[in-house]
Amino acid sequence: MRGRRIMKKIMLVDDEKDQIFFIKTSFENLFGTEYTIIPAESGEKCFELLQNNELPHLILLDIMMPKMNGWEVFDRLRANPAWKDIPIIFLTARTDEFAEQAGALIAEDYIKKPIEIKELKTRIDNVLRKARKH
Amino acid sequence: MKKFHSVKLKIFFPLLLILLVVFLTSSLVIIDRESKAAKETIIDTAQSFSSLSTPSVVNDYLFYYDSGFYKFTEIIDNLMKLNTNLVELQIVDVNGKILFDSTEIVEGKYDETIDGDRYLENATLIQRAGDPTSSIFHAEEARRVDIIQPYFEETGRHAYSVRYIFSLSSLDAMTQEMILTISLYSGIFIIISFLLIFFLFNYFISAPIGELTKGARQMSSGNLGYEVQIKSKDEIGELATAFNTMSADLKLSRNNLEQYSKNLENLVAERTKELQEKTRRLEQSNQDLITAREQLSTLNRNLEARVQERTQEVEKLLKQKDEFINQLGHDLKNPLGPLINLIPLLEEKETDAAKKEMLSVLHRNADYMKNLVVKTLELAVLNSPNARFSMEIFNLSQEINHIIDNKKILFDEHNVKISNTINRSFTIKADRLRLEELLTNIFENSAKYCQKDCKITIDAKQTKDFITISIKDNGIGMTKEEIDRIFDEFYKADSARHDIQNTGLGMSICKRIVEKHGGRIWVESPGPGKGTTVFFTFPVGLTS
Repeated sequence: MRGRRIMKKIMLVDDEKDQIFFIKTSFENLFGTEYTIIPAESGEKCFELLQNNELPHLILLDIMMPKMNGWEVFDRLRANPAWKDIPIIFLTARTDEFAEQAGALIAEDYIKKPIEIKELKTRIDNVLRKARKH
Repeated sequence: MKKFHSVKLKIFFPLLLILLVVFLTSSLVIIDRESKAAKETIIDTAQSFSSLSTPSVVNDYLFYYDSGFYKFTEIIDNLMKLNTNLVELQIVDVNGKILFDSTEIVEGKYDETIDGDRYLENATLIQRAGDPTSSIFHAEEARRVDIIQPYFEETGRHAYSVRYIFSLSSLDAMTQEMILTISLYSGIFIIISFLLIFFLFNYFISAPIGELTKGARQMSSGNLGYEVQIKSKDEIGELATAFNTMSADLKLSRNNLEQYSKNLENLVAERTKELQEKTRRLEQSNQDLITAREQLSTLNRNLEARVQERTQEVEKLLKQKDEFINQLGHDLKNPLGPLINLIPLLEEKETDAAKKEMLSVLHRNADYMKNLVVKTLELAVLNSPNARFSMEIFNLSQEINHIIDNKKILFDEHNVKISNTINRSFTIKADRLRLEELLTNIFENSAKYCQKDCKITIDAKQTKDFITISIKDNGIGMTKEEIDRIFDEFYKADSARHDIQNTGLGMSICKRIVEKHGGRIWVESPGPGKGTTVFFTFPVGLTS
């Protein structure tokens, strides 16, 4: 694996620019070219990017977003046959049981904010490893 | 008049009868004796009269015979007048031939030849006529006494006899008269004694009885204390005295009784009044009570409404609180992301020692702040009554491996070797993410307080309903005091170290999570330097 590194394209759907910035910056600094973070500021942007570009390996989806929240985006992604197999990790700062429950049941994984990049990487790797097995 | 009937009749009639019988008997005895005496007297007189007169009668007969009974009838007549009882005189011879009969004297003259020769009526008489002794014949039924006296001549020859017939009718008259007299006197005597007895009885018995009766009547009609006016010293008097005493006593008793009755009535009236008063008060109280109850009911309803309102408010507030915590969590956690991730990057890249030092301080404090915020919010959520758990049944070993994978960074950082020896068939019923949180906290502690060659061993034992999971490390271990306080909020075991990473909330969060699953958590350590084992129990998942 180490010899033939695959560029992992990770789409990050989050309305907050600072969040996108620190995740993207951290990934670039810590893991170099191993991961490519493709930011999307909203659900619409996410769909647009998905339609017009190569599909990402994984989507990091923030739940708390204006206009279209994470659940709606999730439902749209799962409803589309082309996108339904893309692994999704929820990101949320909320501690609502609903969020936790839903996250645990329907998404591949779930990570609570504040995000620690190393933990996020581990989770991404775990999810991708599992996804490959299938 | 009843008393007269009842008492007097009963006493006087027998008395009268007795008196009558006594007098009648005695009268009869007297009359009988007197009449007998009189009869004897008559007979004696007749005997002596006849005996004495016989010679002179015969002599006179003989003397006057030739003269044709001149003067003789007169003599006879006188003789008969001398003894009024003498009704007939006959001169007979010894053969019974009647020579002279006084009944044949007609107009003062006697004619021997009127009826021819006559003889005595029967043989007995004839025989007696011939008898030289005197004989007497008492013909009771004929009320006659028949005496025949013999007449002796100077020579002693018995030539004639004289028959005297005395009538006893005068005796009857006398008897009759005697009866009359005796009856008269007896009657008078009886009447007098009767009246006397009546009077005495009346005076000594009837009147006092009447008086007593009157007294009794008076008493029975209510006039107690009535005194009967009897002054005598006899039994009746004693009775009267006793009666008067009784009467007086009764009057006294009745007066006492009346007094008592009056008192009683007063008492009853008083009590009745009191009772009425009490009843009235009770009714008033009851009314008050009803009013109070109604008021209370209204108050209660209002209170219930208010309680409901408050409950809703509280629920709303709790929801708001939860919402606030969640919002706060979001708002606090979001800015922490850039801080805890970008500062270490800068720190790493910085070459200037002074700046690197500054960034190191920032890095440490940002991490501490992150821990504090995350765990405080976590505990707040767990303490909220609305905290809900999504319970699932899953394989314990698999889930723990997944968690270990996720925490790889942590174990790598502290160079910890972790081994999971849990039986692969065990399932538990738990909230996955809470379990992860729980184990993360325990792992963090174990990793933080390890010495060298750190090792964490995870194992589990199943009992009937629970699975006991143990996380054993070979770290610095714990004192008894530390074990006792490990679950206290904000307790830091090693305060001397000023461990900036430790918030003192991790074990409290663990305890909450385990308790919310109905299990329990405890810590064992053989002592400082000898490692620590955390145990907790979770409900067994149903094996399908």
